[in-house]
Amino acid sequence: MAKEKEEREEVSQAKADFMHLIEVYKAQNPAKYELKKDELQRKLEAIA
Amino acid sequence: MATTNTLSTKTLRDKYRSAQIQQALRNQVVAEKVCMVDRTGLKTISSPYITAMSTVVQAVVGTYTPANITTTDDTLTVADEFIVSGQIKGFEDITANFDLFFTANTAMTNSVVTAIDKWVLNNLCEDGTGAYTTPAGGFTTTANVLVIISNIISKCAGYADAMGGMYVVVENTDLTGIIQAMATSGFRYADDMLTNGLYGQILGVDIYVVRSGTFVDATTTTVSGTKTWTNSGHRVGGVKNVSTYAFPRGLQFEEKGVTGVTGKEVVCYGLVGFKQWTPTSDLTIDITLA
Repeated sequence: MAKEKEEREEVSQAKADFMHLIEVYKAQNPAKYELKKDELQRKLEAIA
Repeated sequence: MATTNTLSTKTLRDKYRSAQIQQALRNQVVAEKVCMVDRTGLKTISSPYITAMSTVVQAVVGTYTPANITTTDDTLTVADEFIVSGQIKGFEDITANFDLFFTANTAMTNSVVTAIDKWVLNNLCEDGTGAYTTPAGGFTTTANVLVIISNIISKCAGYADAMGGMYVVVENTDLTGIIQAMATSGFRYADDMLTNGLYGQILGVDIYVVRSGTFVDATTTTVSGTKTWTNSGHRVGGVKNVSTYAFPRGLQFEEKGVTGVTGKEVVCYGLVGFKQWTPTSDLTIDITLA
C-alpha cells in the first residue's frame, strides 16, 4: 500500500512538473508552443 | 645556494587542465562544429545581419531608389554559467595508488564539456524554426534514413549560406538504422562502410552522434540553466554556422586550500550564451521523430 501511494505521488509530481514546464514554455516561446502543443499534450498524457 | 622553482606543481596542473579542456572542446563537442563560437569577453553580441538587399533589374535608365540599410535589434546575451567543483582531501591524494588530480581533472573536463554540448544542442533544436517530421520509426528504421537526410537537404539547399555545409545530430540509439542504411546503399560506399565502420557523412550531410538522453524536456533546471526546452523525441539538423554560442574566455580554474579541510578544493567554471539569429533560423531544422 505504502509503495503504491508513493508511486501515485511520484506520477502526480511528474505531471505537475511537466504542466509547469508547458506553462513556462508557452510564456517564453508562444510561437513554437502553438506548433508543439499537441505533442506536449500527448507527452503529458503519457506520464502514468 | 637554494634554488627557486618558479613552476610549481599547481602551475603545471593549471596549464595541463587548460590544455586538456581546450582539446576536449575541439575534439568532443558537436556544438563547436555546427555553431560559430565567440570566445571574446563580451556579455552581449549584436546580430550580425542587416536588412536583406534587393536587386532591381530595369531597362537602362541610370537612376535608382536607395533603400535604408538597417541593422536588426537582436542580441545574444551571456546569461548562463557552468560550474563543476570538488574537494580532494589530503588523505585521498596521499594514499591513492593512481594520480588522483589527473583522474579528477579528466572527470571534470568530461562533465563540463558534455554539459555545454547538451545545452547548446538543445537550444539549437529549440530555437530553429525549420521543421520536419520523420516517417514513423525515425532514424532507427533503415528505409527512413535517406528519406530524412534528403528532406533536410531540400530544406537548406539553394541558399548561399548552405555552403557552410550541412549536418544532423542524432543520439547513439538512432545509429541502428543509419548504419544499416550506409551498409546497404551504393557499392563502393557500402563496401567502405562495411570495412571501416560508421561514416561521418551521408549524402554530403555530416552526421554527429551524441549520447542517448541529450535531447530532453527541461525548464530552468541544473541542466538547462535559464532555458526551457521541449526536445525529448526531437533531433536537430540544418546548415552549419548560422547560430552563435558565446564562451567568454573559455573555462576558468581555481584550486584552493580551504579552512577546516585538508587537501585542495578545485572549481572549474565558464560562462555561455547562445543565439539562433532570426534571419537564418529556418536553416536550423527541428526534427520531430515520429
